[in-house]
Amino acid sequence: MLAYSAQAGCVGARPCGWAAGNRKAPGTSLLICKRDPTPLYFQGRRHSRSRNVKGLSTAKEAQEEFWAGFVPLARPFAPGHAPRLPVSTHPGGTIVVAVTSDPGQLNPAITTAGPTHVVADNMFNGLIQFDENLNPQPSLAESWGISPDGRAYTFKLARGVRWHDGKPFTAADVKFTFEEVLLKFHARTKAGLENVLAGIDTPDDYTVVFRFREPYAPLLRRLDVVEGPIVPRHIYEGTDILKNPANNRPVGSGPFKFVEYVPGDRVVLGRNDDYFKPGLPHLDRAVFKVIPQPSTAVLALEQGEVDYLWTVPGPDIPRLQANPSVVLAKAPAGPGGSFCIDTLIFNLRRPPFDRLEVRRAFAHAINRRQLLEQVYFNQGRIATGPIASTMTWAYTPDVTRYDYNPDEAVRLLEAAGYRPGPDGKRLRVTFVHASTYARTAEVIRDNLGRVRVEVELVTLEFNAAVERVFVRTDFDLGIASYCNGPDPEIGVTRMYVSFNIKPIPFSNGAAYVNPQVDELFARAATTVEEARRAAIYHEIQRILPGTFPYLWLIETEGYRAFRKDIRDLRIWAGDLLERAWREQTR
Amino acid sequence: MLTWTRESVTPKRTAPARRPPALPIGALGLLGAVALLALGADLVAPGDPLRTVGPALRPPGPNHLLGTDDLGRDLLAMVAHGARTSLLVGAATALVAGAVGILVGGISGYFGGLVDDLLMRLTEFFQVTPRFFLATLAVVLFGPKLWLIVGVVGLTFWPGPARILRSRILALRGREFVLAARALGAPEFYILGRHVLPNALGPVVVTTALQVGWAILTEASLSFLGLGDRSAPSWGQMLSNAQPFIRTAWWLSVFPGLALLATVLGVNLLADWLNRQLDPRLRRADPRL
Amino acid sequence: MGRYLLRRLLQVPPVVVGLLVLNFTLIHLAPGDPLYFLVGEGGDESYYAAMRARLGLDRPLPEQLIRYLAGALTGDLGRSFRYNEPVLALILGRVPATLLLSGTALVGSTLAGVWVGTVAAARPGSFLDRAADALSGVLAAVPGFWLGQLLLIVFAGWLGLFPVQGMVSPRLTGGGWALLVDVAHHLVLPAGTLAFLQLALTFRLTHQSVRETLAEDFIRTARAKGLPPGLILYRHALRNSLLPVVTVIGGHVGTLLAGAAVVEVVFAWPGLGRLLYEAVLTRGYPVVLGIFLVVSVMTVFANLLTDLAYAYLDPRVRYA
Repeated sequence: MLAYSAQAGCVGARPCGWAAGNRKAPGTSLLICKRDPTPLYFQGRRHSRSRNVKGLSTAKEAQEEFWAGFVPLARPFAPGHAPRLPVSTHPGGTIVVAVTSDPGQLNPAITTAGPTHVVADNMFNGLIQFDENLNPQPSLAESWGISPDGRAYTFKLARGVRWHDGKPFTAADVKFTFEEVLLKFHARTKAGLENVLAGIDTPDDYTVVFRFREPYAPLLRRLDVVEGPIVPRHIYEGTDILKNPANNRPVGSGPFKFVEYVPGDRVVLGRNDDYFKPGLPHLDRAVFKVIPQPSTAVLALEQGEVDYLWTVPGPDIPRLQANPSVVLAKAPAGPGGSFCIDTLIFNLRRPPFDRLEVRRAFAHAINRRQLLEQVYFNQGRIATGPIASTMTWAYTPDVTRYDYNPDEAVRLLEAAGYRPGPDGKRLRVTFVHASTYARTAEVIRDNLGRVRVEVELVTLEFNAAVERVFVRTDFDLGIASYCNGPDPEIGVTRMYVSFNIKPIPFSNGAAYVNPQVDELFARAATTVEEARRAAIYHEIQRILPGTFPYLWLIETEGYRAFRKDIRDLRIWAGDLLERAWREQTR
Repeated sequence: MLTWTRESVTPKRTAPARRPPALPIGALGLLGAVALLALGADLVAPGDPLRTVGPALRPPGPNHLLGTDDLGRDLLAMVAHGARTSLLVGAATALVAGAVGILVGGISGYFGGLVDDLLMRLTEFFQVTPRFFLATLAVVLFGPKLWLIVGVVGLTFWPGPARILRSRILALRGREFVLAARALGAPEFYILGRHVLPNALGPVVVTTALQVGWAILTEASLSFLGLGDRSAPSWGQMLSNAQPFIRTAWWLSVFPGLALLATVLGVNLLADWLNRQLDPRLRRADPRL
Repeated sequence: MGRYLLRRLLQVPPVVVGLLVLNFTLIHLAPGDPLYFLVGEGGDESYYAAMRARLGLDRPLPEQLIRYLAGALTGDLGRSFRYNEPVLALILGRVPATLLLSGTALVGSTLAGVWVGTVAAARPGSFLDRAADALSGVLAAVPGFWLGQLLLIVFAGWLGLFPVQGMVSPRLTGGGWALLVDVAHHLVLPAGTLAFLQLALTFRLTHQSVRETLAEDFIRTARAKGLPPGLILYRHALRNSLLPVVTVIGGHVGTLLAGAAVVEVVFAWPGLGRLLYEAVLTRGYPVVLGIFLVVSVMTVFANLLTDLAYAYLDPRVRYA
């Protein structure tokens, strides 16, 4: 049962090697993998081996795998497959997930807000879903292919999928969702796709074709339930989508159905017995409990009142690690964003940050190790550049380093002409930040105080801070969590290209203009072959830390904590609970 | 259950059981310590209290008497400088409330008539406005600045002193010494200021003293919810920051909490003593204080 | 009495209108575009343009005020983007939870405070008297959130006697008696925290008041008549002592709601205070403004009830 033949490929962490049944696509170095017809999650507890709770060391296994960014011709789900659950699995049970924020409305296609996605992603599906290495796997699309010129993606949709109200799912739902919902209201999808997508065709009820103006590489990673959830056309067509009451009582296709929402308290989801993936979900009920104080949530977890925490406050990590009934696991991705880097934004539009020497001085003056230890409690790493080190295929460590060196900072500032004035300060800058970054801001102010730079802290509420930095551009320093996204094209490009200097939140806030970088990003988006794409991103990473539009502080990778008796949680994805089960039924 | 004896129901003395002490020892002790800390903050902990001075999360020890917080800042320095903030906020708020209250209550009580009616409606209007929510609203709309908090909270506190003063003046203005002064030709404002007010201010002072404590607690609650002014160290903010560490670094919650407790307790004891110094029978003149 | 009631009721509308005007003034005094305060964040350009026209924000200020008043009085307090719901419905949905919490705390603290205060006053100088005095002094000075967290850690954490958070156990299905017991179990710690804070005040007032009353002549007369001490204490002394207590408690309804806000955050109780906290954090202006309004109106009616109770308790009080 647990033996994997070389034929089992392209699903999960198993390498898709040069084995019988796999062949090379002509004219490229792509592999076309032949998928094992029995989906891996039916083969029992393989996860006890590959799911290493101390971290994603199985990423090393995945590195052996040649992954082109999409799976040509994957084998479809055969609805007739009998699910072979391991003997010790008991179907049923309830899980309680603690969330820190009330989700509000529950339509994941009109927002990128984490709180909504944490809950709603369990009620919907995307065309694909991610495995733990963020590689696309079939979901609503059971197979797909790409045209040789890279401009058209064809998806074959799963059959027999029903919405929670019983109506059938067809390609028209996909077309409608993208054209009328995602491209209008979903911030990342709209920003990413609206200029490159030429059109969406539905030649029949179960086929969708995405046509692009240029060859477009990153499409597949934009199609999971976080970036591209599919909503039912028959509910939303012709209505005011933002105010549709279905946003509060959603109808989706996902493993769980909506049962109840008590605002401010909890959302209750029930099992979808007609879920199109046979044998799933295992759980009967999912309750998302709103607990705004993280320390209260930790207490609740220890007492068994809740089963899963999405975030663990730093000071409680050692205690939870010592607790035998609690498991801690890290994942770099989640429903709020993937591969996120807390980034300091320089305002290049005005002095002093229009000068490179000043920016480099600041880079040397800030003690990121102190930040990592004291503010982030080691939940992450010091960032080296625009791409997170956990995005292994695109990352390179071979970049200019800028270590903590206050003397160097002083030297650079003096060389730039900033000497201490009569009040002892060389320079005064304003630092606009949201209240969640208060501790980070205080450390930065302290660090800069030592090199005699005065930082005026302007603490605002989150939306006000975003508005002031991105829309009114009235700041010297800003800070934001820029998430790379599952693919760099989703979250990295927007920060550096000159045509994205717009009054939109999380755009090119620094107002950085570099035609060479613009051109590199454009090429990366249209280069379909992964090795060549990676090389382009490597070059970008070599350029950017030298020119410093931003200061990349910390790659954040938080812990999730959960009770030991719960298995197969997809802690890196929005659809956390699709495969989860409890060791005993409650 | 307790048994009732005749003696317990009818005390032998009609005066309060204990004579008020000549000086409020407890109150002076507590407040004196806090005030000393506030005044001597620069001596005890010179420099910017909000800068990193040592390793993070150290328990109280010889280097840092009260320990350090998660950013390596000395707790003693922050508590000492925080004393200034809290005392200032408390005193300023009570002063604002007292000043406005005395003005309104004095005029309203003394002159009566239409002026009295209008001012009393205004007073009631501010009395029904829930002060915490108004302060929250103001801070959300205008931004977290200390002077704003003082102003808004003070504006909601003034009805108390106003009504107390008014009822006292109403009781006093028919008295003979007032009539006598008027007969002698003294102008009205002079009578109000020189004769009536000094006799009426007693309970107002007591209430104002109590309001110092309430103002400090209100500011702490606002800081707890994230609405405080971050550029000034304040005990409420320290307690808010200490929340995630409440089980791992107890000193972060205990010391600011104790400081807050001591200050407010001292203020309340002082107010109690002031209360007892004044004629206790006056309190029954108008229960609707 | 009837005329008094009528007069007081007639005073309510001007006060409410006054509150609405205060709200309106604050919205327009605050820095930033008043549109966002009325409508909230999250829309796109076309939506804001449409709302601006509909709210008449390009009209002269007095006209805007009339429109705002008209809207508010018909129950349109705006719409919350985050919840996709009208603000008034959202707020009213949370009121029961807060009332349950505050009401329980109020009843509990009043009963306990009055009882202990009376007993302590009847035995001046005893250990109970002095201990209660000292303890109440300390309790009156404790910040609510601190006390709440301490109680949470001790009783829910170390001792595990009570649930940690919320109003209902998340695993509970169904209703009936099980639900009632569950809610009661969850209610103990948060209501207890609130009650402790109010207890101090109630105790001190009752104590002082009863002690004064016991010194009055009519008590001496009653005693001389040979009435049993318990009767004297509870029927005669207490009833006359309750006036200041009632007044001050009624006047502190606003404080009780505010204290509830802080306790609700610590204990994750799904009430109005929590809604306010989240609205503050997410800049949900319509919700913040709406809560202020609703709580103010509730306070006005609470004051009215207090005054009526006052009149009932003291027949000497006459309202012309």
